[in-house]
Amino acid sequence: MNPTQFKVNRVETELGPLALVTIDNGEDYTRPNVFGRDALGSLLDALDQLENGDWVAMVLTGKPYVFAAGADLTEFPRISTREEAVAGSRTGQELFGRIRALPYPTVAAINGACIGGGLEIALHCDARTISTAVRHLGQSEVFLGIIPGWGGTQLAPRLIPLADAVKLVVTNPLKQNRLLDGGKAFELGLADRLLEPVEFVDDSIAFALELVDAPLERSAPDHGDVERVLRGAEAQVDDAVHGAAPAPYCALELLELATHEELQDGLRAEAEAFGELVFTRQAQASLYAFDVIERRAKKGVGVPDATPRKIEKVGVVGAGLMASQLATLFLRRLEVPVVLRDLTQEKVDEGVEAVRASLPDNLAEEKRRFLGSLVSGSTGWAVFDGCDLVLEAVF
Amino acid sequence: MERDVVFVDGVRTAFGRAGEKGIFWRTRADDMAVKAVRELLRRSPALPPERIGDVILAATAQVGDQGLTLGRDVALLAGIPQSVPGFAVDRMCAGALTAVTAAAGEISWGAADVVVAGGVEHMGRHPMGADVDFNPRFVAERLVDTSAVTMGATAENLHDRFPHLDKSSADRFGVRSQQRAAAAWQNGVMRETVVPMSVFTDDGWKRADRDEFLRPDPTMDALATLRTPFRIGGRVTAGNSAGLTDGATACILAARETAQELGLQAKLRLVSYAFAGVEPELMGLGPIPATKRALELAGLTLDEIDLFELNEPFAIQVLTWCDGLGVSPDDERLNPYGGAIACGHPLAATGVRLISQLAYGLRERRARYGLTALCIGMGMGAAAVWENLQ
Repeated sequence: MNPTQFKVNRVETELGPLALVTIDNGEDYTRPNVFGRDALGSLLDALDQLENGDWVAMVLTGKPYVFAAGADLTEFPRISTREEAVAGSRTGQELFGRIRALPYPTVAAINGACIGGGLEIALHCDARTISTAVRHLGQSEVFLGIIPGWGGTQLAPRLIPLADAVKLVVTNPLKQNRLLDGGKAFELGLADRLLEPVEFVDDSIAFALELVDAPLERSAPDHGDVERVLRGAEAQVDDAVHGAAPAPYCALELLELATHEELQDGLRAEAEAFGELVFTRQAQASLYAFDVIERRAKKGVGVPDATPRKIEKVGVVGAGLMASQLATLFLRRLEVPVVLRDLTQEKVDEGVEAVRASLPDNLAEEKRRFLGSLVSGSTGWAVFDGCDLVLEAVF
Repeated sequence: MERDVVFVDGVRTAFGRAGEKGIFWRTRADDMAVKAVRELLRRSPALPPERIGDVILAATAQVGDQGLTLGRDVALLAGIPQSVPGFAVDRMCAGALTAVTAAAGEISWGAADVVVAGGVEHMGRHPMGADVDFNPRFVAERLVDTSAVTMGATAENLHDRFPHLDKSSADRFGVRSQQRAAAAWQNGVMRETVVPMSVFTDDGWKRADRDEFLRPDPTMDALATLRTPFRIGGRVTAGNSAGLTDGATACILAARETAQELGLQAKLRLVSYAFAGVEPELMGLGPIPATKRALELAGLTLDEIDLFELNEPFAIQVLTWCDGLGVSPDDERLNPYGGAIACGHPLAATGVRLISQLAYGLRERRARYGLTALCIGMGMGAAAVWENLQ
């Protein structure tokens, strides 16, 4: 896969030149941008341009449909010592920190998937726009048994209230890695503007130019009763992991630290904690499992190359519970005629009705009517004539 | 029912070089049209989108991202309410002008009060004639000369027909076009009519905000060395013709009374228009009879026209128009902001560029009447006469 690059382009505006930076690995949206060694090298080059120019503002955005999906997990097995892990965290923090230090307004224009390190680089910018088309935004590290190591634990509570930062960094990842859509991220205060996708980059440029004359006035978030928030969070973490995984507890400590420590101290603590966690059994197992599920399973290991036969009619032998559930599944997935066969007409009618009744309520009325019309049954065998697939489900 | 038709506003994208090196190479044609339409509506906040009666967009190649009856497709993509219909038209280079005249017909008849009209051509994705299946009868029965299907060859034919209009006069006109366009990018006309668009490219997101055919400081000597791709020893070169272009345009037309009702500032009134046919292999002559007919319908003489916005697919085409109507190629009234030689010619989109620039030019000069005209492949011409209302 091509390394992800930071591509800097110059946009002439009435206020002066704006740097339009694209995160792009040159692949389509099925292969998201990720930050590996080469990507960070490319960012280093981009920073040289960004620090030496007459820029009035910067907009950082992704290739179509993807902002950035975070660190390149395939490089994690290369980390062999704790020191290396800490250094990897520090390097990212420092590089991203140079974006934060740029002397002009910087805007992350979150146009698509924005996860882990992708969200962290966005948090290092002065402000963020987000598209209503974004469906996957999250600080997912805790899901993998690690913590955000490029500033996420320290920057999130500097932007949003602690309780929300806990949700983002700790409790959402523990709920099978729950992600946010653009609207939710905006409501949470992670973005300053929620924009339509159609002219998203243009509108983000316009927003960045607004900041040139009128920088955002951002007041510190109100964390409320920090102790209470943390106690509540700890209880939730206990319920989820029962003390068996260190990462969520560690993340909570770092978030709490962010509410009172200097940023540089917090970042150092974050890097140290990251170095500790990477080599825990829990993290190693999670990273392994993630690789299996996300990469190998999605590739469909063992699936033959032949194109599947087209299924245009399905038969189910039986009209009981299992038969009607199978029939419902075929109806929903394939939207083709499904026939049930059982011994008595009464049993058949019950099965057909059960299928119609189990169509979800949120379907449009027309759709329910259509799908309902596709299911039928009989006591004879002739109904299976023309079926491309017949399943036995007598129970 | 017959109502006055007015031009409210017109915008275009920057025009890009067609092909892999052009800035729009990875941008869809319909997305370019969407950008133009949205900018147009943004500039006229007084127009409630549901009052738009039709969206008419032109494209020469009506396939792929220029298919699916483009006016409807783009209206939906631009966020115009579903209740507003749309359709696509094709008259090659006069596509957008035909969208405008079709809109004028709907408005005049009272079928619509406000119409969005324009055009788009992504010649990088849709090279001219790529999907065309020419009827063999054209050749077998000698219905047209074979050169008629290659626009550059028809331009060479014009040089043959009018030997006194030689290569150096065409090159001189090319230099003039570039010089005027360079000046136009300094003054307000392009700022007022061109909307910058962020586009994704292999080098990341870029801003398409300037025409890619502009050449700073063209010289006659440099132009003399250019290749003549249509004929060995020919006269038509990249320096005296418009390159293959990607671009989109859109404008708002309205019944005069609706514009008044909504508080839309009308810029021009459509006085008359005409289309005409000529020998296909000399298609560049088309605007001459079209202009004469449009003037006749308007009851005006050429002297009463204060500004001419002519398309410039080929310098020789403009020179023959000048010759045929008795206008000097150096006349200040002719293409004051340069033309397609400098900005490009995205076939079906160009007409609205001409009208938008005419509106600007008539306002600057406080002048009354203007003319827009284009030649059209397969031997046609189009012309429209406009009255300044500003």
